[in-house]
Amino acid sequence: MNILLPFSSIQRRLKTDISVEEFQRILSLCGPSIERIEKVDNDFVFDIEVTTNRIDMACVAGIVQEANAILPQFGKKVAITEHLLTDYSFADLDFPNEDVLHIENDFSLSPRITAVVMDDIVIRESTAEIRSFLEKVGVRPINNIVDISNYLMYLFGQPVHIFDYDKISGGTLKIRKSIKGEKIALLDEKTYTLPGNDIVIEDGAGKLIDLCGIMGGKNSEVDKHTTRIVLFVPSYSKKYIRKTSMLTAARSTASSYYEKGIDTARVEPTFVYGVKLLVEHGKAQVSSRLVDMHETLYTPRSISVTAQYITDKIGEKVDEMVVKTILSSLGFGVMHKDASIQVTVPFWRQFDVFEPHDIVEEVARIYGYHTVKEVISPFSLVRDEQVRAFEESYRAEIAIKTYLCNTGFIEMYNYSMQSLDMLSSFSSDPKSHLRITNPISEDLIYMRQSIMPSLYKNMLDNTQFEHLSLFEIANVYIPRENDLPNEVRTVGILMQDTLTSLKNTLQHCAALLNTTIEYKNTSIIYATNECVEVYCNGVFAGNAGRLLPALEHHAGGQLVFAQISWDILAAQTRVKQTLLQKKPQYVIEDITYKYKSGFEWFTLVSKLKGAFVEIQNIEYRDQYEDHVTMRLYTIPKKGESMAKRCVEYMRSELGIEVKAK
Amino acid sequence: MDSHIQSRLSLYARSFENAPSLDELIKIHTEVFGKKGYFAKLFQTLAKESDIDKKKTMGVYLNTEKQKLEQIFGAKQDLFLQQKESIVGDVTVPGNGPSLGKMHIVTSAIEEIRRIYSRIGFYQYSYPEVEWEYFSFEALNMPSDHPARDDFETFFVDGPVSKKYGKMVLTPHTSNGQVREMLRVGKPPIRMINIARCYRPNWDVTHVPMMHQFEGLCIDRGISIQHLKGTMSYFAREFFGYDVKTRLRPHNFEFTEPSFEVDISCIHCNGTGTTDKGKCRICKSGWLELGGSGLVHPNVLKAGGIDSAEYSGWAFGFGIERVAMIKYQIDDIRKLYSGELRYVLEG
Repeated sequence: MNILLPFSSIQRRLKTDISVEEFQRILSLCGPSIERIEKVDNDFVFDIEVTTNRIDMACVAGIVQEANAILPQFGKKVAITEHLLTDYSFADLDFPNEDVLHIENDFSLSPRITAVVMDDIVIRESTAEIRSFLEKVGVRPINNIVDISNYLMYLFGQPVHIFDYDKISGGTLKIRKSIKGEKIALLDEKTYTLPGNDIVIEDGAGKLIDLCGIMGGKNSEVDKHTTRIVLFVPSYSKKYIRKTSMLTAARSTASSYYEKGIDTARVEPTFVYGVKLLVEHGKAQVSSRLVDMHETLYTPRSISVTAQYITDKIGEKVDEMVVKTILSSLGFGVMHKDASIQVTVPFWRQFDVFEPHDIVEEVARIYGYHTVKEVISPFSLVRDEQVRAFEESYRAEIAIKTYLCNTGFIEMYNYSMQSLDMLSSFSSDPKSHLRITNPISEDLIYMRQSIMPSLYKNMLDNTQFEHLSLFEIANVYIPRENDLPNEVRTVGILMQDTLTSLKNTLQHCAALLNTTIEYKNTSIIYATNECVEVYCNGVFAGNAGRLLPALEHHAGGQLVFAQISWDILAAQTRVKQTLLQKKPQYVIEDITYKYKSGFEWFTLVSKLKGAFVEIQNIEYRDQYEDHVTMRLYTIPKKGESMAKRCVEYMRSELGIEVKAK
Repeated sequence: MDSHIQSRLSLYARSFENAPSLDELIKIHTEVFGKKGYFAKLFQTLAKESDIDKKKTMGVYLNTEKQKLEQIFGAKQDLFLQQKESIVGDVTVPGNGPSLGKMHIVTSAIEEIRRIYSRIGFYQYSYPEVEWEYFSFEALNMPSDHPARDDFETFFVDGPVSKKYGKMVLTPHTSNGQVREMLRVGKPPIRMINIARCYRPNWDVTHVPMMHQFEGLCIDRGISIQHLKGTMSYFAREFFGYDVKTRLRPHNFEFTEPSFEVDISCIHCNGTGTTDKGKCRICKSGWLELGGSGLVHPNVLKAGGIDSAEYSGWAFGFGIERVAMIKYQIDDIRKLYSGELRYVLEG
């Protein structure tokens, strides 16, 4: 998350003579990222990015602690003049023994709650200092009481709520889970219907007065008539806050703190500092006993680490003295024990420092990633057949993509998910597809098993272009029983052209891969009768054909498609051996015959090859109406014409009409 | 000599010299030297001559004259062949060119990235996109209550549930390949690059529900932050230009410790944060975020069956769309998968 903080609020607690630009540069290298600086009046406002694990930094106290550790590494002198998190405790305050506040807590929802009633409040405008602070961090000042609660949050990183005591029935606060459908009007003037299992507070009359961790209820708000308040500083379980904020879309700065998990210890200094401010700026008087409800609090964790371990991970020598200085300036306890260092983790780091490698991070970042040398990772080569196969397939894919693009095809990248409409237009059964259970759009629900609906949609979306040739190479997802789907890398082609033209393209692709393609008759639900199965080197690899007029109609032109399994195509690719190979002397002869049903090209070729071992290869030459010309490459016994024998065979055995020479 | 022949030959010589065009010249040439031409006739007559001396003299004479005429013809022909005809129209107009297609910008970026890493010994491999929760989360040190694992951050798939590995998800990052690769090779060294699709349920100006990441994983003895830093800088310089500076900033990822955000100096304002039009719109104070990286967390090595006392490693994961947008200056990420050709062709 990002947070705004005025430079002046940091300077007030940390003595240093560093310039604002230097402060930005140095802190960003080693700690929180100060992304931008804006000059406001005589001050500067930092826009600071804080990572989720370091929500403890998202406040003045946190930045002061970081700067205290980081600046000395750059030769800058620093001294903390006010340590917000450790300088204030309950012992600073006196509480009367008045029992006017009754809180019923559920520790699974709220691990710690502190509260007190304060009387004789004077509502007025905040001081210039607090108002200016709030304006700089982007919060609208309201009155001295509300402003103090916001101010505290930015100083301590601990959200605070202040209720009007007289609006709480019976002085009773009951923390509980909401019931689905309950309604609450919040301070943002909106009424929310709760999804259920949200943390809420109800008062003695059973009305909801707070959507905890997110926003206070409108009905218990501090207004100009308020004279008695409840200062309420709670900890909440982060998972509830996150869920509520996501499901209700009610967001606040408080919720972004709580959903990341705040330690329960900072409740105390925030509370004490808050009471002091309310007394000072609101003329308030503490008028109840202190309520501090919690279970076991954090006991400082101890981690053992050596300077050598840290040195190994960074890659260069870090002195033990440096390690100790860095850690203690961050607030860690440091003690020597035998050959290692015993590190004690302060309460504000209890959620992100657990083990020796966490200590490495603390030392390394303050030592400075910018000072670490750049060394390229050592070279390593291992024999790995799987990798080799993968990389060869990838190279072939790039070769095919390059070929297609150079011959006028446009490469598309479409979503892996398709809509029900897309499946329906290709008569594809949605039930056979894997489905997203939490889709964000009707368009992206089914894991596609065919690239064709995607490319077809591309055609429809781009009708202003003529003679389009599109392709995409991507995975399709074929479900399997009790396992992850089979992810089949697939080539999809859709073009406004003839099937002959598409076949030419496929033929060239096959030639580039040094393999062969043959076709067999088939029937496809979304294609006309002009469609075929595609075989690569004899192995079934996919389909090609012409789309039904119903589909073509919408796209406004003739559309032919091919969808071929890339894995099969790539697997049939052979390494061409060209060197030192004696080329045989073929006899080349052509035969033209009349196509006869049942003897499609693939079948006829297999039959001829089966009948005559002398045939080395048969090439397709041409087709005119139903007359097909083939070319024979043969190595016959001396003086024999294989064409003559083939013609005889075709006539007598297969009953095919052959054109006389 | 026959004066008739002489005058005829000199007439031909003049005809050659005065021929108005190449075609005319060739026509006369045929008349003189062709199979049924003048010389052919003369030699036929000569063959019938009975007087040997006369035949000899005449033969020498005819051959000499024939050569002379050929020379005259040749000189004139050269003249014609060297002539430059004047032409009509503009010869400098451009050609129409073949109709070329277009490779998608993501493919171009992937290919460039692969090439850069291949030079320093990294191999490419791939892992499932539809993945078990275990490999996308648990194995990466992200327990079941981690926010990234809820419905708002990860797509779940209505498929079989594995007793061992949990539910089926669309992997939200390419890091699922980390532990899969460790288990595949069994024992380091590992120098892997994985480039694949991943998915997250966000759809706005800066997010699309499907994106491509490239993941790098290096595991060996003695791998340190130095190596991570060196390799990141190498990539940034090769991909964005030799003047580009790299910095590592502290960050947080569950599967690395320490974790870094990798930044490069902004290639639009040269890292200054300002352009002549004011504040640079692309970067944050002169720096651009590339993506996350860090030393592989010991728990992740453990999940991959690798002893973290003996081996260490680094990993990174960058969004291809992000680096492509920076390099090729695309302002709206949604254009990449919109399927609208005016954007595809623009890229």
